[in-house]
Amino acid sequence: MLPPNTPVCVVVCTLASIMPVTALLISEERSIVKAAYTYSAQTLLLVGVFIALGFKYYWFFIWACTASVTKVFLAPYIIVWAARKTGRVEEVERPVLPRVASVALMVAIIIAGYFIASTYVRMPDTVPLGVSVALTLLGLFLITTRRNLLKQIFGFLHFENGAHLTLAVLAPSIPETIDAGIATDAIVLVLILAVLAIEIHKSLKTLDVSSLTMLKHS
Amino acid sequence: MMPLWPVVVVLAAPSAAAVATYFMRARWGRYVTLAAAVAVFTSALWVLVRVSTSPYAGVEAYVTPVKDFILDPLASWILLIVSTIYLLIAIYAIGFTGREVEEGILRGGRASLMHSLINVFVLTMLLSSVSNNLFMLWVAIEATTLASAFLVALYGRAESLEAAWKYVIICSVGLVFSLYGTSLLYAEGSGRIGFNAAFWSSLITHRPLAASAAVLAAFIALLVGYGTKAGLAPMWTWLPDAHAEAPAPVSALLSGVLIKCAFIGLVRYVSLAAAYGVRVVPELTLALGLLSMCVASLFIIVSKDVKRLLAFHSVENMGIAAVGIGFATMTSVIGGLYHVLTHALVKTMLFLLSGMLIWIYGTRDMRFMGRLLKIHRVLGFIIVAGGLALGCSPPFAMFLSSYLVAYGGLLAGNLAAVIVYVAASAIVFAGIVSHTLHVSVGEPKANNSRYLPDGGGIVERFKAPKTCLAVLIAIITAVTVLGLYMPHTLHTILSYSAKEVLGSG
Repeated sequence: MLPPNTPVCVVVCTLASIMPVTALLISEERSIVKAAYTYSAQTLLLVGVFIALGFKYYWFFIWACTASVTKVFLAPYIIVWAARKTGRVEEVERPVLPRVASVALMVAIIIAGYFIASTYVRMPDTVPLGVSVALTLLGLFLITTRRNLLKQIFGFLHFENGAHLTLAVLAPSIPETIDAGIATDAIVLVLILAVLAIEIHKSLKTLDVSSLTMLKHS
Repeated sequence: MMPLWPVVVVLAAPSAAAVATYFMRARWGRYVTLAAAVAVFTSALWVLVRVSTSPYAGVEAYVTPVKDFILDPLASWILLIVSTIYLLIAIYAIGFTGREVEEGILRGGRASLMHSLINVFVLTMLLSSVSNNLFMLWVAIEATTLASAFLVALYGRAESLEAAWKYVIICSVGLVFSLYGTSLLYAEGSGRIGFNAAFWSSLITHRPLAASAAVLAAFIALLVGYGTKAGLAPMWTWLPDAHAEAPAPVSALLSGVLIKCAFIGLVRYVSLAAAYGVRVVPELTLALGLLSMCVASLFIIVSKDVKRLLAFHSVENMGIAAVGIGFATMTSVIGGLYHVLTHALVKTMLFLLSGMLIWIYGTRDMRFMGRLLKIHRVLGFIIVAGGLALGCSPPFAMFLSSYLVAYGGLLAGNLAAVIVYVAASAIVFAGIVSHTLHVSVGEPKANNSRYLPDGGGIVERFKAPKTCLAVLIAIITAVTVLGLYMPHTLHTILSYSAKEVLGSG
């Protein structure tokens, strides 16, 4: 757990609390490429958290390396590649909710995440745990309200950062091999979803999830 | 302590086969897969015999020198199931791949890819079976989704792509809950036993968890996560699509074993909950099981697509197994776990058979099927027997397992749940018998099959590949024998496993 009133604690809490803001930007950004860069920035913040924690538990330096390779570079690269390959670099599909409602709901989710965390841990752990819960819920929100397949992949990536932060707060002592396993699963998942999105675009000429209705029969 | 070598064999053989088959022509790759399957099956049998011939010694006695792996009764049980089906599929695939490539349904390159991915897929399932480290269990179960996603989409049709997308999205969302649950349990336990809190065996033996809201929340998250992957209602919506769109041997692996691996993962947590006296978990398992049976029974009645029908049956049968675990008596748990094996066998057989039905009739729509007994006597017989077996009718093994579940429920004094259980089973039986009768002796709505005599013209004879036929006959024989007699070894393993599940490990 975080030692209160130390430089590590201040850095972790500051960096973690900026992460949900990037989630808001990704959600409302129509350009897939810009959203991917914003996601890189979000993961850089996470890497910053890991480096800060590395001064307390040395193995977090390895976590920082894994996260940099898989999520600062590879994951956004895969999404940009899929967007260029399909020629759909802009999100043209209208989200299920209008922008105002969407932003309001997301802010509510971020506050809810903080309250959920505060029932379980005390300050200062509430900040990173609250952010991780919020990121997971925001991921779920993106998956359920975005019609663009690539935007749904961003939902997953939010899960990923949320889960990573949760592990760092709740299970800091798990070995790096497990961390690497979870990170590998994540990056393979993103790759598979991107390839599926490209294939779906090839056969249906769209990335709109509401056009996936061929199987609605018994 | 158990030796490590069986773990090495069951993980190394499919890994090597996956690499080799990718670079080989499918013609040779299928034999490499078979060799790997034989190696895995032999090791699994050795573990089964080793565990069953010594008295039950508590979970710590089954941990291997590398603590991340365990070869306890539950692991040996699921290993037996995975390796048996792997072997059967490997034999079936010899004839299946040959014919699909010959008919141009599957291109040669895709067939090699299919063999390679099947080996990767089996590898992830085997890893989940022998995991003692709960984080590794999660990584393995998540990896099963990733390994099978392209298998679901293998035919490359728009429908199969849609099914694969839904499958990956829904299962991965579900599994995020499991990761949260696993992390929460670890956080609760690591305060007292440190890193050992990641091991299932240590959590059972050292009991580091205190009764708290966080532990309860963790168990519920785990139930939702692994329940999604096991195909339990209401998180089951991905299952019929994914299982129906994949090629027949892959459907058989998905329905026959994958959902069982997730189910055994879930059972490991039920046993943890039982060890800590968290009653809500078995009760919730019972509720999810009954709900799955009821929901699936309605879809079974109205289903027209043969593969979707079988997929709905998988939901219903995972429901039966969950009800067995949920009743939490020795008899019902033995029944539930036995049902996992019997259903794996019957469902594998029927999915493999469905592949041949699609060859014969050129469609998955059962309204256009009929008079199978006229086209191929043996296949006609197998579908009648298989339909009865799937409807849990005697003398087949699924009758024995589902009966044990119901009897265990009565012993637990839960009459209301048993009544719902029997009613849902009756509906399912009516549904499957009517579908089976239609396909075996009924009249098709329109005759599109080039094998069906319709009064005139030259009719081609359907030649079933010999290996495919041999697999189907072997399974129906095994299912009949296991319905009449449960071998001592299996009974011992099931009793030991039930002890673990009931928390007395």
